[in-house]
Amino acid sequence: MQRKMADFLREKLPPPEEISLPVQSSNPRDLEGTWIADQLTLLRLGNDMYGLPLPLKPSAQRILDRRLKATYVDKRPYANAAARCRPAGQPWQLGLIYPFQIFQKKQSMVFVFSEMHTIWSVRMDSAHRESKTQYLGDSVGHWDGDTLVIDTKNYKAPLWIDPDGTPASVHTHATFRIRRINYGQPKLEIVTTIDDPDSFSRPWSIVRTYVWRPDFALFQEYNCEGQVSSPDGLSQYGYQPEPDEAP
Amino acid sequence: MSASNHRWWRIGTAVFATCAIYINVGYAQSKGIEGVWRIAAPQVLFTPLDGRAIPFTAQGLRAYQLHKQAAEEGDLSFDPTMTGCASPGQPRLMLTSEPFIIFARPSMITILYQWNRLFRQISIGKPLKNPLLAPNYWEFLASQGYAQGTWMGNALLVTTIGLSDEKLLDNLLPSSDQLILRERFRLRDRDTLEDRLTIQDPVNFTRPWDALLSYRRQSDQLFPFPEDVCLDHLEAKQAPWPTISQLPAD
Repeated sequence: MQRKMADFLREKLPPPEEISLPVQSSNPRDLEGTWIADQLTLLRLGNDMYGLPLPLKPSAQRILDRRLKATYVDKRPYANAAARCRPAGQPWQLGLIYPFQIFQKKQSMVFVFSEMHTIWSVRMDSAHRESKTQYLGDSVGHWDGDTLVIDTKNYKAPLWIDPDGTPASVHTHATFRIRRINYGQPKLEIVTTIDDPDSFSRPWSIVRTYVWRPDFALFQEYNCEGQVSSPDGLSQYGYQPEPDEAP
Repeated sequence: MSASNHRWWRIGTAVFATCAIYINVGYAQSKGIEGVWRIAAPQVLFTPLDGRAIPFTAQGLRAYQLHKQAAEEGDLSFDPTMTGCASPGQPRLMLTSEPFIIFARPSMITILYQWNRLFRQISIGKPLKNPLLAPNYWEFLASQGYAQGTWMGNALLVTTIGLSDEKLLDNLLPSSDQLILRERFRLRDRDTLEDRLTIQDPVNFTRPWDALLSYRRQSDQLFPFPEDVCLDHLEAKQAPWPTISQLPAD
């Protein structure tokens, strides 16, 4: 199993070409560059970073069960944000093996994802804008030593935490602790903590790592609007609308 | 080393040093174009810089007239941006009335548009052959095309090819897969960025023609931009992209 995973990742992440590539800064607070997950995408998280089952409340478990049935039994998955070509939320987006770039300014950090042309913007050393809701929420950041801490809330729509549909509500308060690590290879570590009293009985965290791949900087163009903007756009791809039952 | 070889060595060294200084000056200048910009005079149509009529081919003129007539009748079905939020692509995105931000890095210029969170990548120097992309990836057409840039002094010269013919050049002008878009970005002064475009498309135009866009520097406080989702505008019956308020006279 381990070998199969390694082969898969090697195929998915071929070595860079021998050309002149940008050099990573030695400043631990410089996160700029192109990164990609070096772990397999988990369709369903299931457990937190300590191996404990996600503390889903019964109402959230019912939603997840319904989504699993729609996808795997009925073969008519619900149209989540990604299917509707909307920003799918950081927990989903950070779990995919697609590259993203970080641009850094004194007053802001920006994560540019190749998939769904998602832009995750973070205002540094700033207060939340309480009246503003967005698909990616409202994000503010600060440095805790060499760890970037991003605090996100005010989501516009409920989230799918993972592709199977582990739910989180618009009241989710997400924290991302991001730092550079190097155990023989430069990586980015992101610890995501989800605090959503509507869906979970306690906050929980997951950890993901990303490798520095400047050779992935040129992104494939991603245009999903044309596929879903017609009235039958979703149904022709086999999706069905989800019953409105937010946790 | 013979005298002749020595002379060539000195000449070679001088040329190399000059080139290195030139490239470094180019990159140093590039930082000047970083920042938040907005078009100085909002417009939805390109106009030739020389004041002459657009040099349509018969095919280009026919398409333009059909688009114009349909637009006058309120039918925008010829425009996938208006009907379905499809990417306006290049060069139309450079007409956006909303702000954009430029990040200049040695190997890539990245433009993040507020409009529908789109971004444009311009490779500088030898393009990175992203091994994630299929070997024939470059054969596929794209709304943004494939942009290659080089610094010439303080000007950024960009050539874009591989542009899809399923989009428009602006709100009315047709665009083909033969389009070669050449641009010359330069700072006219610290707060004014110019993009001089040369449009070469033998399907729609009999000769290349130029247009000039000008942008004013905006406060850095405008960034990060608010999250813009075109499909939400469409659902709310709002025009995804500015419409033509005054059509040009024929």
